[in-house]
Amino acid sequence: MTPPEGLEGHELSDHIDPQVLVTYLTKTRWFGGKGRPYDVTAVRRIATLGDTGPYPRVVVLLVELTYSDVVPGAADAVELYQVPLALYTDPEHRLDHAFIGWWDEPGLGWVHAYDALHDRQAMDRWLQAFGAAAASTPADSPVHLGGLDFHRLPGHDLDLEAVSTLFTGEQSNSSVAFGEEAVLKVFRKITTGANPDITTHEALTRAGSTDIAHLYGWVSYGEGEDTLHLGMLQQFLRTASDGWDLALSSVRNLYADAELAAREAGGDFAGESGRLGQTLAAVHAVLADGFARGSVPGEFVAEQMRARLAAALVIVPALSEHETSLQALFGRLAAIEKVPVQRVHGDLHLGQTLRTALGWKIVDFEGEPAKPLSERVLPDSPWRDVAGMLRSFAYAPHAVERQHTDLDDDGAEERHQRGLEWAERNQRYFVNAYTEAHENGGMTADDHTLLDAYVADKAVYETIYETRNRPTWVEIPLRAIARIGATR
Amino acid sequence: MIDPAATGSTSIPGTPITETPDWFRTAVFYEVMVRSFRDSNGDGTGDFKGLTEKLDYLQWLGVDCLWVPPFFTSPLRDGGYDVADFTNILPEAGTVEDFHHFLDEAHARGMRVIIDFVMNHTSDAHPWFQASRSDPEGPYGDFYVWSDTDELYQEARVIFVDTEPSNWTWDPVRQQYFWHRFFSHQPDLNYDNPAVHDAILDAISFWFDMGLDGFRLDAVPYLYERPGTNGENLPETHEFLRKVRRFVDEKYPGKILLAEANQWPSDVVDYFGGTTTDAGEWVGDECHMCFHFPVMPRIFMAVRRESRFPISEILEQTPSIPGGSQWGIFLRNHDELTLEMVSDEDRDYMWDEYAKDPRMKANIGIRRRLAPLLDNDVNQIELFHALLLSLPGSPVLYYGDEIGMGDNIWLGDRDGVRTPMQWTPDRNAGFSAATPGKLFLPAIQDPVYGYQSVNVEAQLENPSSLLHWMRRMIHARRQHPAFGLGEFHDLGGSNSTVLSYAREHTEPGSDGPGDVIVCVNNLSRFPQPVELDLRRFEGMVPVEMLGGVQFPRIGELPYLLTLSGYGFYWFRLVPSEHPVEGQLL
Repeated sequence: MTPPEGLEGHELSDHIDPQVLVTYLTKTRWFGGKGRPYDVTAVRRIATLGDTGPYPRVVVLLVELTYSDVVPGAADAVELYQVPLALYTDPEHRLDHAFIGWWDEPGLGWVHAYDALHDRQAMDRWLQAFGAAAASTPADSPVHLGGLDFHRLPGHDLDLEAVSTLFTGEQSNSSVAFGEEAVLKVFRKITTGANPDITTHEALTRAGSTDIAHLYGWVSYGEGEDTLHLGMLQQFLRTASDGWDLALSSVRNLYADAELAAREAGGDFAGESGRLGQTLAAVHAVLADGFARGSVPGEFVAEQMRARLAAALVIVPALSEHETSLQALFGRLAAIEKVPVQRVHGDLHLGQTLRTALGWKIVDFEGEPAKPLSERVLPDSPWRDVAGMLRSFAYAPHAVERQHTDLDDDGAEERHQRGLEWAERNQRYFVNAYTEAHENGGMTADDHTLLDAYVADKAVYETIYETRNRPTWVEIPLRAIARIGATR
Repeated sequence: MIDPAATGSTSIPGTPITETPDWFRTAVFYEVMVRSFRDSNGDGTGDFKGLTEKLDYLQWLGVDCLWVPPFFTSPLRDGGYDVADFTNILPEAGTVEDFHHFLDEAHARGMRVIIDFVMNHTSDAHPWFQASRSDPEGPYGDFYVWSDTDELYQEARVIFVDTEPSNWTWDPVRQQYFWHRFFSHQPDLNYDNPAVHDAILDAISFWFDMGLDGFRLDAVPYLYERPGTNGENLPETHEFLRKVRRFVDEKYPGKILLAEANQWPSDVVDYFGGTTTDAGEWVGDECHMCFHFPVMPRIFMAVRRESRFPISEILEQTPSIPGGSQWGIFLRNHDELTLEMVSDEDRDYMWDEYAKDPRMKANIGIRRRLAPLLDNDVNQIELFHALLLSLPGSPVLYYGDEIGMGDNIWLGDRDGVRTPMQWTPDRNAGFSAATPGKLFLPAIQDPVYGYQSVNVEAQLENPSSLLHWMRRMIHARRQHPAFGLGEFHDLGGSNSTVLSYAREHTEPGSDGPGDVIVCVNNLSRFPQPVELDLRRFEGMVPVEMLGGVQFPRIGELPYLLTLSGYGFYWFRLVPSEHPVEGQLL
């Protein structure tokens, strides 16, 4: 991959020692290239937020890395990372933990550079820029500031006095909360083109969906096909808890009483699962209206699934005993003439859901991170999202058993059964509520085939992942696959 | 037994009764059944003289207002809600003079008193009804809703469907039908007749003139009936309540009206009224207080589900109320939630979760006391009270729950939770000197909750008892106006089994940081960590309220706490530049 055209000839910041950036990248959570050999092949300053007035000077760098473990020109040979910096003439000891280096910055002299996301004063520049974007006319037109474009959606007034706080623990991006109402997600690894997290949220927000965190705005660089999406500003769901954590609490509660069945346990989750199903149905309905819809032949979907199965069979020998039933399932899928497709979430699981005081929200519409941006926005079957949730319910009991190493071995088998019961109960409530809320209600024979196929496809993928990473867990997806053979 | 008032040093004198019109917004209420509390004359039934004897105990406990359910003259076919005389009292409870004395003695101890008042109907034994049926042309002929046909107002539902086939009953004396929303022995008063207004206001004045501090108004939504409507929450009903409120504000300022409308908060909120004053302030112009019914079952469900969302959700859905108003909240009383009241589509949480869970469903509509409902688990009993005393609204305690009394389910519907208060391990629980067979209801005798093991005397002697804990909590609460007057701010947090909120109150006109309380409640039986976003209180120091221990200063990062199973904290936040006394340098 070559750098996006808009960047060609852009100001190169040659004065920064590449080794300083290498040291910095190694320390961050979000850098995906750890362990791979690479060189910093370009550092471009694409923006300066506030080049007069009080310090800090805030600059946005795009750091280009070229990896030497793949052939030049390979898809993953070059990566771009966004690094916003706060530059001060003197050391700022409050930011010692975010210190990156010091160098002679043209026009400024010697500066101390810090990761801007840790610095409240630096982050205020983003907030003020979004504030200016709201005031711009005509409505909906972005404000061009310091080299970046700040876009706003109507309908929300930002508190421009709010103080920023960086969230810890995020894996691939960096998020900063402004007060208690807004959160800015700064994308770290940058690829060309519109980010589906922004475009999907924009459509859902404009349609007035209450089942997501509303999009307030976004930051981009450049125009047209070469545009780079650098960050998005969203409603901060202050009272939210992660759906995966809630599900684990429910399972823990179940395991605490040796005798009770899932439906009798105090921590029963079925009501929440049902409400989650309704929420997903509502989101799918809005996405169906907001983006291109169509259909693809069942054969087309089946072919992709067969290819993934063939690859998995090489890695997971135990899969071979289920090959016949899987092929039969994909055969039924191939016989479906038209599979309806639309914009979907693409990577849905319990960890992408948040329970707030006013119901469930679905978050992170980035699509499957392993795919290129252009593929992530392709219309897909909504059953893919449903299948993702069903697999997530299946995993929850195992996650508790694995965390909870003090569980009594004597009851292991019985506990295991009750865990399966928990998963099935919540899957049933989720699917029933989803289908009842959606369109005509109920499921056709084709719907059953599609859901089974997407569940199987997801489970096949999981067998590869587990075989490579957690071999003792491979039983979890294999059990789901075995069941497909048993019931059809 | 130990006389708590005689211990002197532990007794905090009550706040003197003054003309503070907002007293009810910070008060702790205590519901006490006069016939169940203390029998002074050995006839087997509690009375006002007995209740007066126990005022020192209630003052020691720290309650601010006593609520006494119906004791007016009545044939007692509906627990006293069938009133036969609005200005006289049941002979077994004493005399009007006894009540007057009780009122004066309560006031002398800084406690107020409110009583039940049934506006909607009377007993058919009331002289008004007897006059109305026998003399249609007389002064009371139009006091009730009479009709030649039983076909009017068909849209009004029958509330007691199990016993009443219709809201109309034929009266053989007057040869007409009379209207009744409840039992057929409880004819509805005719509020279209101005004479009824006057008669009711006269009855209200009778008690207010004696010094009473307020009324709990029973069954207020049904005062009027109109063709083509369901006869509930009609504009005419609100107009009458505004009339009563104007009457109270003009003649009896500082006295309160507390509405019982067993409905969803968004509907109940109408009973506060609301008008904008000349100064631009939005204030209530109907009832000062209304009960918030759904909070109670949500607390039970949150602990059962080990999830904060049942409580967070209902508070998020609760509309704001006009100035000078307050919710009343409770864990137990005799008016409990029924699933019938939450049948609307957007209220399906209750259906969904309650109707599905056999254990919770079984508890609906059944009157049990708190301790047996919580399997007598003292950690849960304490957590429930910590929630009751810190959530928005004025808490209403139920007599006996402060010592963890049990119930007697064999006594049936209401009586099972009205057994004699358990004062001592002696005969009749120290409630009465009568022979046990003469008691109006038997004292609890089972091995777990019987008066030999659960009684005031034993718990007074034990500083680690539930009773002493309750007293400490009530007294901690009264130090902080934020509990009653403060804003409620759900803090969310990383752990869904931990319910955390801030209560903040700043006195009007003051520019200080105000009174800030942070409450953290673990709804799970397991120990839990929680990370709280307390950035808005950055630089302040949490001080645990029961022990006075300072916790680490609040910084920029999430504030980490760990809680034991069913554990909770009450913190007050103090600015760190004013170190609390005793802090080491």
